[in-house]
Amino acid sequence: MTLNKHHKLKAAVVFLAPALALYGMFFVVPMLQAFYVALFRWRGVSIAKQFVGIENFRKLFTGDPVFWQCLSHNLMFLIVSFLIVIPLSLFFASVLAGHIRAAEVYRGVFLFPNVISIVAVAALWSFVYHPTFGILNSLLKSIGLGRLATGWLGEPRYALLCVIITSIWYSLGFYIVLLLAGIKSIPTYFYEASALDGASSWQSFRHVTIPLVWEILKLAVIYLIIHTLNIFGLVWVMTEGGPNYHTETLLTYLYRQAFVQSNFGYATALGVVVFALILGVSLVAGRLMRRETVEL
Amino acid sequence: MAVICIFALSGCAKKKPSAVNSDKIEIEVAVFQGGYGLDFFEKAAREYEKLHPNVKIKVWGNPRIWEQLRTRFVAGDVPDLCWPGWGMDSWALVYDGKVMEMDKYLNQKAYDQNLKWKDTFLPDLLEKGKYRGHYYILPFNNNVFGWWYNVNLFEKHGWKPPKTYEELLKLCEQIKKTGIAPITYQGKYPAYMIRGFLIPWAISAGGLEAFEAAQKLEPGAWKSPAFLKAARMMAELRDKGYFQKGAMGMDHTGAQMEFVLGRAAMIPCGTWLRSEMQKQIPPGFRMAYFNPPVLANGKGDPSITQASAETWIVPKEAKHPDIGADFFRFMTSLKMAKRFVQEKQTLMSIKGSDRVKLPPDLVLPARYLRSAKATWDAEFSDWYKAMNKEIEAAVAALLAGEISPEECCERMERAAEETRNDPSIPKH
Repeated sequence: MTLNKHHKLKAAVVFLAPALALYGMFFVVPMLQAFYVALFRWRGVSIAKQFVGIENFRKLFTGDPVFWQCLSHNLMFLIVSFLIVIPLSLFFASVLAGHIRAAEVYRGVFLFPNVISIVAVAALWSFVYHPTFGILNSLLKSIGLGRLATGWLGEPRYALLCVIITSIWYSLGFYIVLLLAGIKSIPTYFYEASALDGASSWQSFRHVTIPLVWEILKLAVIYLIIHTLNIFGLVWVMTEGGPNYHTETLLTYLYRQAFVQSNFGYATALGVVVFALILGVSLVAGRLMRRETVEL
Repeated sequence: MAVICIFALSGCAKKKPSAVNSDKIEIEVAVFQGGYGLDFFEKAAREYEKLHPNVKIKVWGNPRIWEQLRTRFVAGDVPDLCWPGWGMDSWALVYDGKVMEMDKYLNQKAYDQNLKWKDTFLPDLLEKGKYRGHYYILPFNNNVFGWWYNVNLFEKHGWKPPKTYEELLKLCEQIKKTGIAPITYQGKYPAYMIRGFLIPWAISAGGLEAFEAAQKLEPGAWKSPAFLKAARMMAELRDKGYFQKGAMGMDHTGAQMEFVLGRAAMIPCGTWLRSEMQKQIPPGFRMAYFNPPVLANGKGDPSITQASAETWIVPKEAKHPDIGADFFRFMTSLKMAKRFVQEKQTLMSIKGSDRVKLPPDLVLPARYLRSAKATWDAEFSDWYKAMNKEIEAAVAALLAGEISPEECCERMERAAEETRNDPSIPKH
């Protein structure tokens, strides 16, 4: 018996080793290396590095107002997305889970933005917001609000909101499908029972659907945190962080520091901070959403 | 058996491309493959090989070549000559000792003229590549940057390209009345507004020295009366509605599209404008270059023109830097330079290379350049990238109406001060 166990362990090690080695080499080691590089001043064009200790972090937190601006933009992204995406996706998911006509078609339609490349989405929406031939301005003009027409992505007050709306449009389908799968897995007799007890559809949503998809909902929130704190491609293509930093996010700033301004050490320090931030916010969210799991 | 394997492997590892034919030296030339393609450089390589039968030149390139070059510079495995393209921070390479000092090569004789090689370049453009008294970064083709106007539109209405700012204001009022936007700009990339409005007007108001002082980070230079005047001029055009509405939200091709479609009458841009918009330009469209309108009573000489260059470098760790440099000397010979001008429709930084039949769009820029008492370039944008980003943000904020000209200048000055006080940033 013990021999058998021993054998099993050996087999496990043998089978896991290649995967672990690859994971270690291409994920763990580079990440640890990032923590190390963050302690240097490095232009990223040669091996010449100068050790500066925590100087990069000190500057980031005490001498760089743009960092705080970026952080506030990411949090804005997170909050607005949370307030819109979670309720909306929950709503659509529960509607689509019901017996409505052409549910399959709608599911496809909602998921559709998700299969377009992010660069194409960004380009598409840049045209929507375009000052002279954008649909948004045409729409405003056609309903007599032509005076509101503007160059949306160049307008300090609206640029961030415009990018956030695009991001929501892009990601909503994903959350709908995620929650839909959760709702679909709820056995129908729960609903039948609640209907027999005279529950309204809101009550059965509130007391049956929500508790039973809670774990999925938690997952969705954590995804949302990761997505919004890591946002890059959309912003970079649509505005490059402009005008005047009004849409600059942590990662566009990181990219600019590394690849435009040749401050790889500083950029890496920023990367470490973003990593810690995402980890921290996700843990907090997980903690806040902790409740007894309802076993089926 | 194992010994044989090891032997075979070490044999592979040592094999270099040049070992194929032991008496031939192979050099590698990495080229940014932008609008000009690779064909000119490949043809030049074949010609050079004919003149030097012991040399074989491998030319390769792509549109984002700096991404590959960056890692190769870190690894120390570099080409023998390269045009790293706009995405490469070439000065960072210079600071880290990755670029060959070119002085000894530049003192050689030019390929086809009885001059020192360095005397064949337009001096201002060559001097830009100097750092602490030595040459590192060499210019190849050059761009003149100024304003363009829609010739058909101007002829139709009997307008003349304005020479002075005062004329510009009058003209803008007339253009605005027709419902066309007088001026548009590439709002997403404030570098265009800095090169097209801010600096030309600061130079006009305070002379070239006002701008040089700002580039040298002299205290107060970015908020000097000259820069304040320039910022006020931009604010005036903004407030009078002479800029196209929404231009702030356009990228470069978007704004240039407005211009070639005739919805805006003037635009700041470099001499690459036509090649960049080739596919969108409607048939019959005509445009012409002019230097940004200056103040009638300005201190700066009105002939001062903005010229910048696409730059090449010989990496210090190149295996055959002498041949790399020599091939570049060959490509910048008068004959080759003239050929580049004709084939690729761009100006070159070699004196006399514009004495060919120029494409219509280049005739005026070449004339402005020849008669310029001095030229300038926004070199600070390459030297001090963090400061440049701040200045871009300040100019964007000014044009978006978020801040006043005074605040804009204060902000630029603060950025300059930060760079000045940061000992880790090498100064020029």
